[in-house]
Amino acid sequence: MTELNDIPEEQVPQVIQAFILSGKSLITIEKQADDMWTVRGE
Amino acid sequence: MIHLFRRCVAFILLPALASGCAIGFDSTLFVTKSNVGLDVDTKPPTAELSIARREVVVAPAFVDGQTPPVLAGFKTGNRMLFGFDVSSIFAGGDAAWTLTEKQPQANSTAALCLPTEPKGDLRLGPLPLGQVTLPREDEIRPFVFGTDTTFGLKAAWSGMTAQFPDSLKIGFNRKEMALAPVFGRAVQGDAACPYRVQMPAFLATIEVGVDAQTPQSAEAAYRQSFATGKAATALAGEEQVKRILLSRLESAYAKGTYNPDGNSACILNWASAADKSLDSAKAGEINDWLASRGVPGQLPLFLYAQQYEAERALFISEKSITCP
Repeated sequence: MTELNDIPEEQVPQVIQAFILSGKSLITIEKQADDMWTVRGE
Repeated sequence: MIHLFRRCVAFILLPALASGCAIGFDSTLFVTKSNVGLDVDTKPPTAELSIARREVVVAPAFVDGQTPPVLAGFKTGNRMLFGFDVSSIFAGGDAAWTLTEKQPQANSTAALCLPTEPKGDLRLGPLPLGQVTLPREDEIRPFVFGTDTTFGLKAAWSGMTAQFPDSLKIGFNRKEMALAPVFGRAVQGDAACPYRVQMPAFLATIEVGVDAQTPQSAEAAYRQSFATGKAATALAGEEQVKRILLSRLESAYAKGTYNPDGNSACILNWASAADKSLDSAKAGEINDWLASRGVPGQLPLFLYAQQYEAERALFISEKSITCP
């Protein structure tokens, strides 16, 4: 399980691509209270 | 006490000999037992609420410490009261060997090479009980391989304990067992491997994932495979199966904060294709490097997390990347 916090919205697609290329098959994204995003992969 | 021990050993070994099987001489016994949750049993008396794992192998050992390969992996990620993940892999023979190979080779085999035909002297203290040789190519031996999995609630009654169950299991409980014969074969004209020893391939995997953070998003996933022989070896080469084993080596929970630095930009520039997306070959190179550093699967953190600043600097240095 890998988690990256405080991602600006415009960077989320690039971060998700990195999760995919790292071999994560289950990726979830979540909006934080401060409008930043958290991406998790496992 | 010693006499009692010898009697116990004889009690176990003699029936095995009578049935033509000497475990640890001409066959390999490989057993695991896993429990995540509650396990109450009367035979033997057990009561545990735990993550428990037991592994036993009794295999023949030959010259230079060679043994028929077996492999077992077990991973559990507990989300406390909100579900859990469990995965387990159990393999032997060529399947175990294939699982450990980074790049499976076409003619790769787990066969052992011995200089001469081995012979085992079965003894009970000073008393010789007989000599054991490996089954040859013209013999047939039984191969026993099985798993028993409970996921959820299981209560069993024998009727001996009135209204109370003999055993009660809640959670994940799994037993895996293989009793595999070990065959030997003289190879004429092969000076490098005059006597080959091999046992059948077998592979059993299971993945269970339960997520119950909210009633609306509650979900459960269950995947299981079971194979022997060439099917087991072929299945062991699949990336999906290898991932079950390799994921054991990942840190259970890696977390980072998005804060890319100048080296992030440098590496992203080096690893990006013409359309600015990450090049999969370059990403693979980074993944291999991270795996060699003991942090496999952390490409996103490596590229973007402030906690991986030192790793990025080291990567640029080792790969001699020129930053603009």
